[in-house]
Amino acid sequence: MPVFKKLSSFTCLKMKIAVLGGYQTKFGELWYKSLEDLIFEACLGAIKEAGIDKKKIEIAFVGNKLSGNLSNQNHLGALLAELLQINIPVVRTEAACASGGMAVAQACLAIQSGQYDFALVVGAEKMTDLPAEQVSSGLMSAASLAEQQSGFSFVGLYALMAKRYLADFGCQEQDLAQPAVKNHWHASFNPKAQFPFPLTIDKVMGSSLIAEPLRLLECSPISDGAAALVLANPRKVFSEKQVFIKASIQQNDSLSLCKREKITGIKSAKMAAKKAYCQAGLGPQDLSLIEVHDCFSIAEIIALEDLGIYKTGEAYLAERNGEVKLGGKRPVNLSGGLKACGHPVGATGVKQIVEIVNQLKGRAGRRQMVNPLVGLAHNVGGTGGTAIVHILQK
Amino acid sequence: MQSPIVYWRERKKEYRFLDRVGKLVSFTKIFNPPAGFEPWPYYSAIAEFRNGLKKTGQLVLEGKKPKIGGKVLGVIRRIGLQDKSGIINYGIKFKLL
Repeated sequence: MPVFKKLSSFTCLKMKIAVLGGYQTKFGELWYKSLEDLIFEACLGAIKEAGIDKKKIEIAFVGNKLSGNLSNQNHLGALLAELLQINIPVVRTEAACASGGMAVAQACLAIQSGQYDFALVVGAEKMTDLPAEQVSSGLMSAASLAEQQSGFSFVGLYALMAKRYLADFGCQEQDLAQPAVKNHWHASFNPKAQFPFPLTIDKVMGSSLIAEPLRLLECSPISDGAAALVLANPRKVFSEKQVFIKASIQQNDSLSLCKREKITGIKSAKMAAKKAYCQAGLGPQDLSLIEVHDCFSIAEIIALEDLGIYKTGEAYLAERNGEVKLGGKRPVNLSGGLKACGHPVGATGVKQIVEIVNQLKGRAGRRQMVNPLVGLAHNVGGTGGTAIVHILQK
Repeated sequence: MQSPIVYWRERKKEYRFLDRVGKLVSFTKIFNPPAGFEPWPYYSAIAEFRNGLKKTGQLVLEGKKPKIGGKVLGVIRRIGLQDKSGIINYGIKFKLL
């Protein structure tokens, strides 16, 4: 187990933010729900669970990537103020698929600053109203112009990472199918998942190639959905039975994949993880469960190495031997991950934290693990231009 | 769709890769391309050039099979179809050597 050294260049300012409430809408093709409906449902759910009056909320953050492209609505701060009938500052965050994680991180900073005691965070995306071609085009605005003009989509860019990973570490194409199979199995216990049913290796390997070596069933879907959290200064909360955010770190790297030192790891995620462990005073050995950004199957394998949980080039072996399944040593993506729970891009980073909160509070239903203490959420924008890591503890 | 001026501005940055030899860092065969890129499937890659400069681009196979570490040459080719602005997208591709 790799152990991170103390960081000399980073002040590990302690963090303790209480999570009062969390809520996730159903993820999927929700044609009967608009972006507004999704945001409203998630916010009301989180506020209700927090057990506070909405008037107590002093600031809100909305994570979203595509509302301008797909819903012709960019003014989400004002939209939230209208929906909830509140007059508070509302900040929209955009960091591609890490927009939700960034909203949580900004809320943590707002509370940590001492300026605000209660914050609402919502991540939401409405993606299925328009043809997949338009959605794909909108998503590619998170890549560099050179990548767009070279005929890449995100699956193509992640395929470059996968191809090199296979070549460097002796991983087999079939190993890339393992995260998808595991995550579908987890999603089969999650009624809010987009695909709540199991998959077999043969089914994944029999699905069509999208960008070699990645296949259709190794790619996360286009989804609608939202998730929300109510966060608070713990000194303003009377109950001791809370889950706390102990670390919240954002790190960035170059927009273009080709400008990175290596493409078999994501430097921003490695740096965010190191700083998050430092801030929380915990290490990878302390994690009970992990939600990682498995936008494509290779991304989950690489994430587990970037987070220091497995050595470089070895995470696929853990996928192979079942260590990361429910009931295994350290379960990964109990929600079903992006692959099977769904990936409404702005909602994903918030949903990951809602899932960890549910697990730590022991209310995750049939996918509940035994007595988890610490959870980590890993949210990535683009091919790693943004990475955000949160650590939660009860 | 890109504005013609974007093509004009961006293409000038690419010419430093023209007629330069590099090696393949990684490649993929794309079966489900974005709009405007035909015919498919086609290969796209990252190539590394002298001084560590790296670039993404499509591959020109001419009957050869790509491999990681294999040598490529920067050449001008048509990259995409004519778009709604009337621009035919020409740029650098990597020809396998």
